[in-house]
Amino acid sequence: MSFQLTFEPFPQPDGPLRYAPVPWDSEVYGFPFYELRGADTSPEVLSQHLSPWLSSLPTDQPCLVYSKIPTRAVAQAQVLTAHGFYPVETIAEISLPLARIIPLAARRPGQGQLRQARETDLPQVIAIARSAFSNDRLHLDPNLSPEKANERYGQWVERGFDASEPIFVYEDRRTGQVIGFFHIREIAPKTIDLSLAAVSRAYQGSGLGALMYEAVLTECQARGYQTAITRITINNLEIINLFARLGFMFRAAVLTLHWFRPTREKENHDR
Amino acid sequence: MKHLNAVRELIALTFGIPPDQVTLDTKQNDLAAWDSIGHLNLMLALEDAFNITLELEEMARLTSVAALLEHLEKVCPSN
Repeated sequence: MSFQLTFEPFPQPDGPLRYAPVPWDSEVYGFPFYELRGADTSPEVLSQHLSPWLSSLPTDQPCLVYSKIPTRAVAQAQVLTAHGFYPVETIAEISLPLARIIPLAARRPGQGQLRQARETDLPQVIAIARSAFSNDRLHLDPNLSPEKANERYGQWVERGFDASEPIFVYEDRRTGQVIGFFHIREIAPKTIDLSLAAVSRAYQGSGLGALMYEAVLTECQARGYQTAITRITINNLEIINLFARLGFMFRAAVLTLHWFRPTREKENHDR
Repeated sequence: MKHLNAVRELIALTFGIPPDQVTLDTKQNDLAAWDSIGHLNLMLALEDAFNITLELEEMARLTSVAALLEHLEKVCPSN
């Protein structure tokens, strides 16, 4: 999401382990979520401090920790999995110089149009956000509720609207129906992050979403941006192929692992 | 079934496959090349070949040979 996390050290005051509460996920799921900085933490530090830190987490409610590490960080992955972390998702980080967009089709249907979202679009956009995703870690983790994952994505776009962040919709000119949306953020001069995008399930596979992606990139180029970056789960091969067709290049791969503990009461009951 | 052969040829040409791989029962999921971009190109080719204009919701719905034929019978009826 587009919000900054505040990482805290463990053990105090200047411990080498870094973790941050994730307030927006904690709010949606009703129990604490944390991100553990695994990428720039050595396996030795993880080995030394992970158990004490995990033991210090609340036990009167479920708790989830996630850590994102480069896929080549096998030593860190080994330590994390030895402490109960499990892999949930591999993300490809990709980028495109916008001057190199590759057109997808010889022409585009005139019936669709891209425009900036209005407040009246919010219900349709939220409905799409709440139903379009299924390949991400929050939907695939069997310890987590898919309904809560849907709610999370709905809140993501709602917060984007509230913060007046750029959200585009691709609509059917004739009916006014929103086919898909795009939430983007400027993360550096001339660089945009395609933060979140989705196509209504009724239109997935039709190619219209692909046109939406192309239209957003073209629009960003027209507005003076030079580079687009984004992250996609490798579970979604259709989208990976689409981005490759548009000219995106792969820059990095990140593995996300989860650690989940139900309440102590449930743990004891299950033994 | 006036349009069956024309649709088979169109699909074969769009996706670069032999026409005999396309039957009345063929659906989008049956052909690897019939992904979202393939579908878009097929819809545009259909418009050009039959001189018709498809609504966006029609594009989303026409994901099988049977659906294509049914639609063409409505907009380009056999005599």
